[in-house]
Amino acid sequence: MTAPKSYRACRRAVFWFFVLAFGLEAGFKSILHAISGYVAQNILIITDMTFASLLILAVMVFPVYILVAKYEVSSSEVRLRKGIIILSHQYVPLSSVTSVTTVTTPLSVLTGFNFVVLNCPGSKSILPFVTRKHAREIADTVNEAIKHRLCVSGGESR
Amino acid sequence: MSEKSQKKLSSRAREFLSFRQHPVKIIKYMARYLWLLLLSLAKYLIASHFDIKSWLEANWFDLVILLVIFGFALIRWITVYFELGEDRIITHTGFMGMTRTIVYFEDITSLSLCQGPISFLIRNCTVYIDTDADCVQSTDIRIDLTKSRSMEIYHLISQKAKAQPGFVFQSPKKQLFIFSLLFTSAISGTVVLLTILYQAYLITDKEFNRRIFNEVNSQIHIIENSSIWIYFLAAGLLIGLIWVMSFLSNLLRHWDFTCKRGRNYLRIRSGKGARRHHLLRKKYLNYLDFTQSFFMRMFNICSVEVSCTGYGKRWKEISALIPITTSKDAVQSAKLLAPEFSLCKPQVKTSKACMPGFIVPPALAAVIPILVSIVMQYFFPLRKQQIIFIGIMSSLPFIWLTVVKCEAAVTTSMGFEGDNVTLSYCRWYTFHKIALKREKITKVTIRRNPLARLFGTCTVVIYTTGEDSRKHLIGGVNYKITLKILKENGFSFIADKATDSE
Repeated sequence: MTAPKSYRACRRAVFWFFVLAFGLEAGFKSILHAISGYVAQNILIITDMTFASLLILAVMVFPVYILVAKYEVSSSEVRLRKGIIILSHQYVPLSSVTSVTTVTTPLSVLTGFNFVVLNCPGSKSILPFVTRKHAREIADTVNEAIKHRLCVSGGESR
Repeated sequence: MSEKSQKKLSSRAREFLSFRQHPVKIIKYMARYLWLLLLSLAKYLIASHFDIKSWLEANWFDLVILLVIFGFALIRWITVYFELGEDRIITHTGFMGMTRTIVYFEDITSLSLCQGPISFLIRNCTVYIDTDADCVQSTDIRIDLTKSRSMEIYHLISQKAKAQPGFVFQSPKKQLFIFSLLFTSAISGTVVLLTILYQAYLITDKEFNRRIFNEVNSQIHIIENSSIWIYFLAAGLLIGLIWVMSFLSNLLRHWDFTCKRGRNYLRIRSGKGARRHHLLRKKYLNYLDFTQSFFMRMFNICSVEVSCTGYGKRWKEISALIPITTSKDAVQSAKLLAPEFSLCKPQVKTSKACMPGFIVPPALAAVIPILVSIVMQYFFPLRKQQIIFIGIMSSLPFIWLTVVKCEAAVTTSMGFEGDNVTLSYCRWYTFHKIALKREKITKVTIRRNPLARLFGTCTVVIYTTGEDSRKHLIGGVNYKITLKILKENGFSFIADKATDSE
């Protein structure tokens, strides 16, 4: 069994999340401006304020999420720490993982918006916002573990 | 044609038909709304006083469409077929039989043979074959065959499952009656709905009487209150009838319930007239669930359900292993039917500090409608009676939930013993006691909110192998003890030595 390797969520993702949030706010404002002639003013103000407050909340909370997120991957298990107010610690034995999915978005080398999904029968575990390098590393470790398990079980059945 | 070639032809036809689905499938393959077209054609035929010539002239296009649809259904019936090997079943399904599915008998988790009342009359039977290959809720193979052919497949697959001389669980009729009564969809909901209807009728009736007195004589005919009770009665009767039908179908589905233990499989049979046969492969059983409602708990009775891919996922089907019996009997019968699962003593229970966490949220939810109704009375004093009624009716389910959660606060627990795990918890109004194997756990999560951190408690969420991502939530247990127990059993949340990647 190899020693567990610790990964943290990519800090760059916070900056790009801010950029995305500002872009979204600007886009939403321009949509509201375009439809301002057809919708009552008070409805527009309420919609704008609701959207803006949700976005501000997300901008405030997201850095905390990134700071807290921590993943430990070894050849036999994966441990995850996630959450903001409710902290959740997850333990996933690799013996139950059937496949691993890596989601890499365009420009993810820059943004850090990469996700690793561990698929188990009956549950799914997501390791969000890891760098592309780390995502590949984690996927390789998990795939190796699956391969090893299949070899062992194949040998036993023979 | 010589006799020899005739025999050859008939044997070929028999062989062709034996690997096809039941001919009723042709009708099932035809478009569902085809009957609308048939109705209109019949209407024209009657209108033309059965003058076939003029009817054909007027409706030739509709008839061509009908023939095309029938032709497609026939082609589909011909192209969809199955093959039986020594150790596998191969089906050719989908468009023109293009999808080929091979399932080895060794990999089958559950095989179900289901018959509805109409299928029983035409000797048709639907065969469902499930494996653990798909994580999504879909059946691997579903074919409609004749009863005799489906029983052949059943016996072929269950060859290795020759029932061991030993325990057979048979549910007594009286107990099945209670089981159907309890599991018929929302009995409490129906009672509440009927009460609401009756109360609504009383209020509306009073309201109309008041209005009649207030209105001038010339306008009385507009109000028409004399027939209002008919609508309420009709609605009540309809709800009652639906419930009775649901109850009867539930009762008939589980009548003569027997569960037999085989070497590799559990054989479950149930149903009156239209019987159902299920084969559950023992090594693919995920867990046993001893289910109780609050009333069942009071009378010390319980029902045992089993989680196995494919079993109990069809419409109105319950994955029952033991439909209903006393709690003591249920434990003993489950031990005999599935000895690999055993219940173990709780190692960690809900801590006293967490009791309010169980009781306060439903109690608050019960108080809110009453508070709202008090405020509403101030704004609408004329509607006081209606508002009080709605407030009380809305808070009733939450008051009941508070009572249930009081019991849950002292019974929630978790225990490990060797390879066995037992989880006791309450989800909404139902108490569950899960007996599972440690290797069936796919993920363990520990959740802590600021209050839990303050009191040193946590919530453990355990995910198990299965088709649905069902989670078992053990709330309000001591954090340190839980970590220790989990570590002892191979779920270590603290790594020994982690090398940092950054």
